[in-house]
Amino acid sequence: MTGLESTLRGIVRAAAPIVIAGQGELLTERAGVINLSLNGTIMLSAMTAHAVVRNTGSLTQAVLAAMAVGAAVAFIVVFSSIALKLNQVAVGFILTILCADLAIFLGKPHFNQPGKQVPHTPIPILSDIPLIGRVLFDHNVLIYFSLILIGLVWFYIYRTRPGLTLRSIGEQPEAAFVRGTPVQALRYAYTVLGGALVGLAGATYSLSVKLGWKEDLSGEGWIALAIVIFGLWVPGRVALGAYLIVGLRSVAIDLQDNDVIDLPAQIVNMLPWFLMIVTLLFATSGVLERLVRFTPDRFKPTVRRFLRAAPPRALGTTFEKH
Amino acid sequence: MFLNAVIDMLPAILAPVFGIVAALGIIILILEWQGADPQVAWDYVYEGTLKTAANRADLMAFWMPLAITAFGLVLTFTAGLWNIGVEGQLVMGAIGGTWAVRLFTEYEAGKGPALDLGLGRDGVLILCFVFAAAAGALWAVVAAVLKTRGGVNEIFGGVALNFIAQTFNMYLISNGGPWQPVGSRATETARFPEIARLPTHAEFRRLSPTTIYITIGAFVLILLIMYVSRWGLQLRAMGKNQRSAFLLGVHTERNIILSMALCGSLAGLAGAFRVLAPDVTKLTATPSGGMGFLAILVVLLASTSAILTPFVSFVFAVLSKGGQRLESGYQWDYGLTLDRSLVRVLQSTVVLMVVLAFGVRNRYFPPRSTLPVVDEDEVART
Repeated sequence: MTGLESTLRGIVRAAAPIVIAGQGELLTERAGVINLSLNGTIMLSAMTAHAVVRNTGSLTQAVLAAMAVGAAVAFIVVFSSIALKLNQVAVGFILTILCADLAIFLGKPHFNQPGKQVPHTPIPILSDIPLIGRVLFDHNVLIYFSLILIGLVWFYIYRTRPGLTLRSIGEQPEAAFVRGTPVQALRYAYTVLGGALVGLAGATYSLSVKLGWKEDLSGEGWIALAIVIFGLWVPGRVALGAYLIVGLRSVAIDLQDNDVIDLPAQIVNMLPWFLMIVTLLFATSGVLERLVRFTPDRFKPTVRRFLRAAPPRALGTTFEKH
Repeated sequence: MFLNAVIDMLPAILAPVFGIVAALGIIILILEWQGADPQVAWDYVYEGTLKTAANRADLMAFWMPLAITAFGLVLTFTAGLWNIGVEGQLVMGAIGGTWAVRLFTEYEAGKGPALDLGLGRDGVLILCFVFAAAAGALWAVVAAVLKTRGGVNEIFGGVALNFIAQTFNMYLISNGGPWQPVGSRATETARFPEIARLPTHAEFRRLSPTTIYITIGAFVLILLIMYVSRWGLQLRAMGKNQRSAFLLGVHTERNIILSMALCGSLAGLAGAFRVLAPDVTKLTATPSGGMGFLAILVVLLASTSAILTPFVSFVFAVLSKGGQRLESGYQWDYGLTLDRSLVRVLQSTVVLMVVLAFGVRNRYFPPRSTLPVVDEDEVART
């Protein structure tokens, strides 16, 4: 395996949880709900998966338990928003703190204990393809799922009728309601589904990427939330954001071992957060739109299409039946 | 008539009560499940915080920075801003205060002050607080400008700035960082010299009256802003509807930056309290230790009321300080391993339950004032 191959393979692997959580949050936000609890939910579900696998030995049960935790937290967010008309950001923030503390408290007996890993299953013929074979087809089931999920979510949102309905309840819930769409019920469904995916992301950490429970997952959920904005609510771009952040992180770690550039480790640790601010600046301040003006006329429509996206118009608002 | 008024008030009073009871119920269930006797839990918390004068002094030392941080957050929450970056602002305040000590005192024996202004203790301490407030304010203004000019939501800007501040702190004091004493392996600075230590109160070596005076001053300031000044009214208007406040002539951008800066400087002062605390007097790896987030929970529980904030922060301080005794008490007396993070679980559960209870109340027992008013004359005429 060449150096580049193994770096890319590592990025695909390390980014898998953020990709899964990002796609889950994307579905939730496309339905018009913000689930801000990701950071805590990922910690709690990662701990849950690790604890379940230690007690039962069953990886399936561990994954299902983690997804149930994620779905339950998401349900609290959407219930308090729709049924109780509470501020989604407030409830999400409280839950992110609560879940992180709960994970640390309940996870004490499982802290730093050996767990079980999802078995490595290279795909027979595909993994022998030069270059991309090892990068894409030499992982375990959870990582494959993260790759498939990107296409799946894209296809669902842009190429199916339920996907169209999903977009409509995030953009124009009133219009969708008039056409007979059960807006509230669908918001429940997509938030809980998104939460389950966030739970799966947690399981991906403790069963594969950062094996076990070490209380060191704080920050990952915030990155997942940020890349949804960076990706402008489009599945492919959200995944791209995840690979970009994780890629830069791995470059930063390589830089630490580099003798030529002597960077203190802590400065390197800051880079992803600087990057988060800079990418959000690019995504939200309109700088990119100004860039369109400088592109050659031939590429203008393509570039514009690639950059054009706006948050779901009804994001974070509550919908009232009239 | 009077009875009706009481019945109207009931849901408003009962909502938080129900919320707190529900949260306590959850914690009791957790304790029972862990095999711990819930009845002794409160005894441990009481023993650890309120029983002796020394305990109460320690409690004050924790309560003051928590309260002053929460005061600042009252402003930003009123203006509709989610200043999650308050945690980083607190860390930057701690760094700023330490920097002042390094600049203006003889930090390493034998080498004079880096900037010799011939200051006495009062001068050094005042500069220390000024530097801390400025550093916290600067960090808050970065988040504010990112929001107003760059369109970066203050939540995400704040989260990133929190991590940057914490990492910067670690850089300064670990692995041979510039502020770690030569030859030391501990992730902290050397202790501050005598001249940069707060005066202590009577025989309590951990309590300084200075922090109490500053916190009371900040409380008065926040009360004046919120209940007397025109600016407080503008912040309220922005919190209700920023767009219409702007259209009515409120300088929303300036107010966002100002309220964030004020909140940041108060958080910075809290950071200075933490490093200058008479039993600390050094910059440690966790100058905040989640205190900023705790202050956000305090303000959420106090429903952004400036008057309630000191009381709520007091209760949270009791719980936080009581956690240590809770952990060691169960360990020694019962041989149970019960992590102190349980009290943090309790704190956030209380906030969640009270917020949910208020939601239930508004939804199912709406206060009269929010019911649509029917003009009977109007109905009669048509």
